[in-house]
Amino acid sequence: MTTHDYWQDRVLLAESGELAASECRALEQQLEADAALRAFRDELRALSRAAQSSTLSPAPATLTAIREAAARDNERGHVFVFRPAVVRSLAYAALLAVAFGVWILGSTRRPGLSDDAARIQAVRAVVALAGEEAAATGGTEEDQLKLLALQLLELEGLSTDGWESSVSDWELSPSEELPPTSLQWHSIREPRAIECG
Amino acid sequence: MKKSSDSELIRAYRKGDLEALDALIARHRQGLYGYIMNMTQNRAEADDVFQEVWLRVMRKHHLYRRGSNFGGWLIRIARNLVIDRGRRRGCDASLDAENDEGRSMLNMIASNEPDPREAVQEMELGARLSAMVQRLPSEQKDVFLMRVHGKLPFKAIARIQGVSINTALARMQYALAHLRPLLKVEYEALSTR
Repeated sequence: MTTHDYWQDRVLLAESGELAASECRALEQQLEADAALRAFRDELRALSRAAQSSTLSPAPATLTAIREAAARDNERGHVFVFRPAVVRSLAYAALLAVAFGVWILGSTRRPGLSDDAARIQAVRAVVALAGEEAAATGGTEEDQLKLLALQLLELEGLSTDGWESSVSDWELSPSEELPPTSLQWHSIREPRAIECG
Repeated sequence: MKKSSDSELIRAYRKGDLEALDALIARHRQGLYGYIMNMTQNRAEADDVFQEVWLRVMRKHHLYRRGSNFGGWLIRIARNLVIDRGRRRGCDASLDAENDEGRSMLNMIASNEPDPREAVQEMELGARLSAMVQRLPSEQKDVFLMRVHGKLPFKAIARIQGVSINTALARMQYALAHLRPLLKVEYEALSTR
């Protein structure tokens, strides 16, 4: 990354309100001294204004349909239904712990068929968990799997930064082989051929 | 009157206050719809997705964590819906299917127009920009739309895309770099306003 890229990133972060006050002061000083950076910031602001100017609104019928659905829900008392979110979270945590335990167990045993069976069990548990979470949140199973995998790696004390980049690269080019990762994969074996889509 | 936060409005909605939901919709309507419209490029589909997002909010409001970014949650739901629809449509995409302008893939392929860039010259600035954004690689377009329309912080964008914040920032930079030459004239016009 060049110095210019660095300051442009700072501008992007400042515009999205993600810079601390001290970092903003440093950026202000840089902006005063760097005309190209000022131009970048101005272009960014102009671009955002232009993009938002073309925004349409949903059809009134759509808004009416949403309000009617909300009113129906309210009448049926759905809004007041007790949702045991905490209980479900605890169940997820327990499942995750079991999956993690099985994973650890699998990784400390001698290589052999029983290791494979343990790993398969662990993977099945994680996939089932991801399926449930995806159904509950309206997300995709793929996203949930990724999230759970990240949580597992973090539980094992591994940094996931490099791994995330690899996952991203893999997503961009599903037909290509999984790129090498900088992580120590311990006992996790090299992934076999994965079919995408 | 004190402006309620998204968390407060969600809490009020949970207690049965439908006006709180109206307020949430009004607050997030433009950004959310802008994002969906740019992702789908079809008004009817955008309306469907917009409606489905709010239906999911009603059904799954208990999953919203108090104090977290409500707009980010909406965009995430919308993004997943658009992706799911795209996957489903992938199997039965038709060359005869028409977009909002009543043009099918078939007649666009067979079009006699010399260059799509010339065609978009006649559109108004915002629409032209929207057309340019469609040509960005999908992950750059996604970051651009989430930032510009969804107004999401890069931290949230990175989480949604499952990448590091540096990757999200780099994608935004690439998107801007792609748009800059295409919109050079507009940039100059905008900077003189």
